[in-house]
Amino acid sequence: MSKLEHISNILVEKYSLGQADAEQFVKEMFAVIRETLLKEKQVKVKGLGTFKLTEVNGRASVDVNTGERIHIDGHTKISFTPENSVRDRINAPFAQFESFDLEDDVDFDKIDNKYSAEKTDDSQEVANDDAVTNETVVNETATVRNAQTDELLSVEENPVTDEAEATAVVKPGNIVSEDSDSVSEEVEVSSNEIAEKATIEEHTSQEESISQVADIPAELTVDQEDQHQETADITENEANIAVPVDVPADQLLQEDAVPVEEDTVQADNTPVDYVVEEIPAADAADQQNMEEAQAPIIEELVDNQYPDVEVPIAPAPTNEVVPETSSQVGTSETLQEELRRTNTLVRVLLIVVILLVICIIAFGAYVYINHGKSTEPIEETPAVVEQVDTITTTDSDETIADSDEIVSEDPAEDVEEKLNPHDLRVVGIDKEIILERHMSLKDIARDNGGDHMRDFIKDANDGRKYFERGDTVIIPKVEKKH
Amino acid sequence: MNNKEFIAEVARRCNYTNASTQKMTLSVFDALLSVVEEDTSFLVPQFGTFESKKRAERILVNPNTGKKMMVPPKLVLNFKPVASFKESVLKGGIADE
Repeated sequence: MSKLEHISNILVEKYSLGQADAEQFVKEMFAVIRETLLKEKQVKVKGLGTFKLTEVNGRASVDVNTGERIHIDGHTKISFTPENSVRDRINAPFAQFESFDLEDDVDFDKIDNKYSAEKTDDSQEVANDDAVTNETVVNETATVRNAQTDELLSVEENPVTDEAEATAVVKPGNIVSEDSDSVSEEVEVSSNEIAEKATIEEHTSQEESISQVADIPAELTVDQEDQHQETADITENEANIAVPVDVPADQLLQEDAVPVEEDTVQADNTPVDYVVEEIPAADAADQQNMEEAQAPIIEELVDNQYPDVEVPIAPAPTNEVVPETSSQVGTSETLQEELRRTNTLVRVLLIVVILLVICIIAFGAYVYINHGKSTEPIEETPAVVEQVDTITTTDSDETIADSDEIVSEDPAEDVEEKLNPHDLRVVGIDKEIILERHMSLKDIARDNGGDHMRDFIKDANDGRKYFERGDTVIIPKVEKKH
Repeated sequence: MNNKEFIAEVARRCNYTNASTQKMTLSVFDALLSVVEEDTSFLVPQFGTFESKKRAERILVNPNTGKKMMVPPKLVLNFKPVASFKESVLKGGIADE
């Protein structure tokens, strides 16, 4: 109803009708169509199309549910055929596509097989990852430690890295607003993780009570609040972080998460195992999505961000945790450990889920930002892959290389390239655009339908080849010759 | 019924001139289509829904030559009458015969 009102409002504006009259008019229009259709079987309306009543003959059919043979009676159907101009207008977004002949020897089986093979490859890889994980976890941890050099060696510095990363994530959060929620969660979770790790390592010799475990969440909330504030501070300081920074943050977080789990795995075997298996799988998925943006910034993070952040934050989490936990001396270590284990499980799962969400959002943002520059990601990818290799020399390399292949295939481009300008002709002016930056003819053509548009655009603009910022460019409307 | 008769009928019912009725109907349809372009569907009460739908690309084979053609995807305007309209047509159609 509101949409109909919208239309009658337009009538009111254009023809100075009363609101009631306009609504009445619109209603009458459709009423006339409806009523005369019943009488005359066909109504042609200029500006919309033709409504027709068509007879449908009765036919035999089979009831899908019961399998019985049934007879469908003949009936009258309302059919609507839009006018040519209406049809073209609705199809305008797809107007640049043309049908074209396919070569006789094009074999689609190959393509189909290739795609299905890629899919199975992927799944196998994930499976492999899972299988290998148990053996490689140690290696991976070692590598990660190497990559991050001193930072991971001391527990107190861990939270710092995490927070540096988390802060980095907060920045893009301003751009993609959804990010910020998950980011704060992430900060909580990672700090939980580290705080607990600190507790474990520093107080393994002491016997800890169940009440201590119960207290952990409370401590953590304190930590979280503090760290929120700190994160906010840092966000203000570090205004110069590049947009895609959130990606490496995820990665580093994952790397952090692995050693933490490793500790737990060494302590107790059975239940945590499958969580460890899940992480690489998530890794693989994430890296497939995110590889494009991450590599350069990882280094940046480690090199540049870290020193800035270290000073203000390092003391916060550990100091708070230590006094509280050390004051608690209890009896049943096993119960406490079990609780801790479940806590870790839940947190690890939380991290994985949150990371996935962030990765997806970030990837969406990345795609959105780079929309229209389809060539860029493909060019960047190889370099990115190399850099990632140097940092995380693990078994996930295969995955990255593979997903590289997937990214480089873009079937939509093929379709566009095959449009031949000789088959097209100009039928009018599609639109006029005002450039926001200097653009070559090629760029303009690419943004407005494809390379085949180049000559048409050139002709429509008095043969100009270069356009400056602020220039008005006429984009002609082309159509296939008949 | 052609467009002329349609306009004349609407003009008679609403007491406008044929010319202005024609202009107004055109702008009504124009507005309707722009809504469809934006929201992909437009419901006219007591009448039906106009909707733009995507037809997927497909490969045509000319049975005579065996040539294959790739037909690109396209958007088409679809009209789906409301149930009461359908029913009245069903009855009207039968009554007419």
